[in-house]
Amino acid sequence: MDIRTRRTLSLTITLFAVGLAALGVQWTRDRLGDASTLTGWTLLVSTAGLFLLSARKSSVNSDWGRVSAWLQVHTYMGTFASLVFLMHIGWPVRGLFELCLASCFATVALSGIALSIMNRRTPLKLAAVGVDRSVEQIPAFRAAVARDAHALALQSAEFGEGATLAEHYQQRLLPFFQSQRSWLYRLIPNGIQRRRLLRELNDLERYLADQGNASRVALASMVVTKDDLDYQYALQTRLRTLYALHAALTWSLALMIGVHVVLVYRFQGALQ
Amino acid sequence: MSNPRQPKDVTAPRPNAQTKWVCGYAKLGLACAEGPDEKGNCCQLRKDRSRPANNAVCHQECSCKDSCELAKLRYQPMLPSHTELGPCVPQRASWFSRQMLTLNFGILTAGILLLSMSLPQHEVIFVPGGLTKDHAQILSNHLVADRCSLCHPNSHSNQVSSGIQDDLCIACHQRHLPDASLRSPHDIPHEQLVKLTAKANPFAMLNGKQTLSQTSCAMCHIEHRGASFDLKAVSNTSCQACHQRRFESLAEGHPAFEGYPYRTQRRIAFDHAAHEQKHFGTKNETFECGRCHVEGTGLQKRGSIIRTVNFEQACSSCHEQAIDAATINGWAVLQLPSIEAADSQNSQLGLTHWPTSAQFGYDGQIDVPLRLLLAADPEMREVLAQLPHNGQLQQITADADRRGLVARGLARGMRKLIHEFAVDGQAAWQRRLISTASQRFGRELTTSELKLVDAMVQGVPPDLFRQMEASWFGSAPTSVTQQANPLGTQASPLLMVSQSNNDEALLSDSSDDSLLTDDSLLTDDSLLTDDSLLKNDALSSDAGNDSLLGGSANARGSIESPLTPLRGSQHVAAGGWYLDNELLALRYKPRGHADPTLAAWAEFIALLDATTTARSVTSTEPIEPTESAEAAEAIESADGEQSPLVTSVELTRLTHGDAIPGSCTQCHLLATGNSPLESTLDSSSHWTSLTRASNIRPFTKFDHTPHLTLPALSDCRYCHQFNDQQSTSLQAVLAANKDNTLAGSASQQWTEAACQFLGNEFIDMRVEQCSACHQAGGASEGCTACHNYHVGASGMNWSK
Repeated sequence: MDIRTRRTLSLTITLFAVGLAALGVQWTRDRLGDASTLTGWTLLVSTAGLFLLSARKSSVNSDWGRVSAWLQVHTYMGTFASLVFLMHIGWPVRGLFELCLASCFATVALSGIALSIMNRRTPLKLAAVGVDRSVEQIPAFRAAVARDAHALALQSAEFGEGATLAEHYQQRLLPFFQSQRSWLYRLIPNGIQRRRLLRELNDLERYLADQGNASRVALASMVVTKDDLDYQYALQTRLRTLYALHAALTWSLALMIGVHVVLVYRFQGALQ
Repeated sequence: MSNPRQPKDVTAPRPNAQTKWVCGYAKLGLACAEGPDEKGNCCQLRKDRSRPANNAVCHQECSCKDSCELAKLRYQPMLPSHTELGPCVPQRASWFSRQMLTLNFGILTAGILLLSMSLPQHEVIFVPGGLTKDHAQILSNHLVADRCSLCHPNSHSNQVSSGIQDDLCIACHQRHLPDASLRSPHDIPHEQLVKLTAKANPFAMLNGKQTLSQTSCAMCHIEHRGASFDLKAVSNTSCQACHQRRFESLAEGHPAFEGYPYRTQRRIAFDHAAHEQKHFGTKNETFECGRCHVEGTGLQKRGSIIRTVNFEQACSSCHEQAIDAATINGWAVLQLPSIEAADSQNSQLGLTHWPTSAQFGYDGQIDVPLRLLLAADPEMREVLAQLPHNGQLQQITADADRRGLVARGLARGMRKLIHEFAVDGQAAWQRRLISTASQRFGRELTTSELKLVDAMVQGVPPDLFRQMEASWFGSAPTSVTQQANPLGTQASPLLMVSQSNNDEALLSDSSDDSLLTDDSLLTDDSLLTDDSLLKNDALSSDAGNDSLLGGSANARGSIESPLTPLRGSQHVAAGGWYLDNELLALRYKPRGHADPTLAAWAEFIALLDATTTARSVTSTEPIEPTESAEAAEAIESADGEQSPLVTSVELTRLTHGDAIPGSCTQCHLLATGNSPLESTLDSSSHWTSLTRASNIRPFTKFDHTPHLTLPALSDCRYCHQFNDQQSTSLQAVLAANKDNTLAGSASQQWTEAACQFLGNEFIDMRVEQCSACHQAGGASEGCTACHNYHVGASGMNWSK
């Protein structure tokens, strides 16, 4: 079964389950039943199912299937749970605790959706860069590039026209190589600074002789390398941060769900 | 052959799961080979460290060896020394950071939850939304038991309570929703619900099981939706959860109104059309609805229109004089019939003291009240059964002997009756009425019925009975004095003494009584013999003429007095009981409109007539109203038992007219509904227009106030249109019905005919009249805009 067929099948099953839940809710409401209990238990079971991915990832037993398959199940079950969640809550959500619980669930669900999208798009973007490096390796490469650029700038100062390049390096390129990118760049990586720096280097061409221009071209290459590293680092960090947030809130959500269930059955009235 | 233990998943995210910490120089590409220990301590700080960290080599098991790009970076000659880099600060591995973050989130969440639960006002945090404004004060109570526990039985108790939340709801709302404890749909008892759903097919329940199911408050009333939430708002979907017939809107599919809004029985027989055309028309007065139907005030101020203002405001200007005229001569509750003079001379008949003014032949009328009193006497059963329809003796023309037999029988019965009254006073009267009623009902009278009897005899002076006997007969009948009380009752000793003093015959015939002749107390009593007060007492000397002391020979029919005698109702110009010695009648002059004594008599007569009607309906044989004896026999055979009253009073259909004067029951419809006993007695206000009690919630509700503000609806005729198809008038209906029964206009027959007329007086409203405004985009067309859910048995009965 190829990925497209599997995706179509999973989506169909998910939509069927959602439709079934909606029919159940409507059927219950039509008979003055307690639809919240129905959706609540459905939500609880499906949420518990979402934790299975974490259990699978903690296990090295290959008999439980591939993690990618579990991830796909997790994705569609999460979609189902999110839609049932919308059926379960009343709008607007009232009560401080209920609001926190709903916000937590919504954050987990939205981060999950974002992760699902980014999981598909990030590898493509990384692949477009050319060289694939893991996030743990990037600081070392970034430091090496910075050292090379610094050495090249010092070397170029020895030439007659090199003072221009060295001065430009000191003013414009040194902060770029030695510092990390802003949080906005990590959130939304872009090529604005890269293009600006390359344009500025290009503008120095008429002030430099051959040797200086060679150094300028080398520096431009280093700018590209550094920007690629930053881009890769931003993409991977963004994904990992979102995943960390998703995983961390999941356990908070589990705790609050437990309290919510206890409170509901402690205070229940409709089912008596 | 692959090793089954070998992980196949090459995408496992943590190939080196044991590494929690990484070297602090890793970001610079200068990570030492040894790295931090499991606790995150740098390897350079370890005591057993043997080699410098700068001698880092690539330990990754890859094939690149020295050509590895990372390895090249590490061995570049420009590498700075550790002194230049500063101390190594080991960093958490990314997966370990993530785990720690998750753990911290969990701990933080648990801590916040525990802290929230320990706060005094933790309800504020965990309450799932504010309460509605009607319940909002609950959370401000100081005691825990008065806050959440007030509605949630198990909220603050370690033991699961056996009570349910609905019980707590009903505990507070029992007063205005008395039937809610049934927890049935519409608060209707199960039996009534089954009948209703079986009858109203369009609204039949989905299935029998659902019909029997109990409802819960929380099915419709969802709390914790904020202060402004309308807790009573119920969606149409909720209504149609049970009601099988579903429709889109009021305009499309709503069942047609059946008799709305005229299903409620009216107690005032008011012919609107006749009043508009005749009475108001002849006086050139405008017939304005708002003159009588004003907006409610006080307790009734709920947007409702008062059905009718009181008599003084609405009717007295035209009807008060007529009522006074009809009652000016009083009401003959008891009147002696006339017999032949020969009968009074026949000592065998026991009528020797019959007044001479009532000895001009068999004549006279036996009215309803007298019949009710006589009916208690078993000996009068056959006599009363022989009476014609209107009680007129002279109409017994078929057989002269029969008329004489009836008249003599009545005379003997009345003689006994009057003597009994003279002896026991009001008690005898009450006894007779109770006996009559209990025979008819076949049971003991209820408290309210006994109160009704009390009201009937209330105000009758006991001395009036003795005066009546003394002035009309002069002596007690021999047959009466020689026999026991016919009803088996014993007069009190005091009354017996009183009786002996007043009974002239008893005194005259008791000359041989040793108790009197030998009684030294009487003969030797100086108090009696020497009492100058007695000897010279003008009262005692004129005792023969004193009607109060009674009994002289010339008192039979005419009373001599030095004063100008008061005649007729002159005795009681302002109302009350009096003796009519000319016509030998005990009369009652009502005190104008709403006389309580007359009202009690009317209710009593209506009650008996309603019972008669109820029994005749259950009988299999049709009853001819004009054939009294035959009808009585028919009912007797149908009942299967002999009831003296059946033959005497109830089933004797007489052409009589009103049983009581003043035409009370021509306007006030007393006996209504299928359960006459309940309708007559259980409602204390059936003399007034039928006004819904505040605790009755009808199934259909209507608020006049917002409707009357609309110019088009300010004219009441927009909704309340006269039924032009009704050809007759209420007056004609009355004329056709009231003379056919003993009770006259107090009869069930008249009431039913009047109700039928009044029910058709106006054209039923149509759905289109309402849906013209109540439609999508217009006024509300929700179910609860016009219907109440919590109806209860009383509300459902009202709506019927």
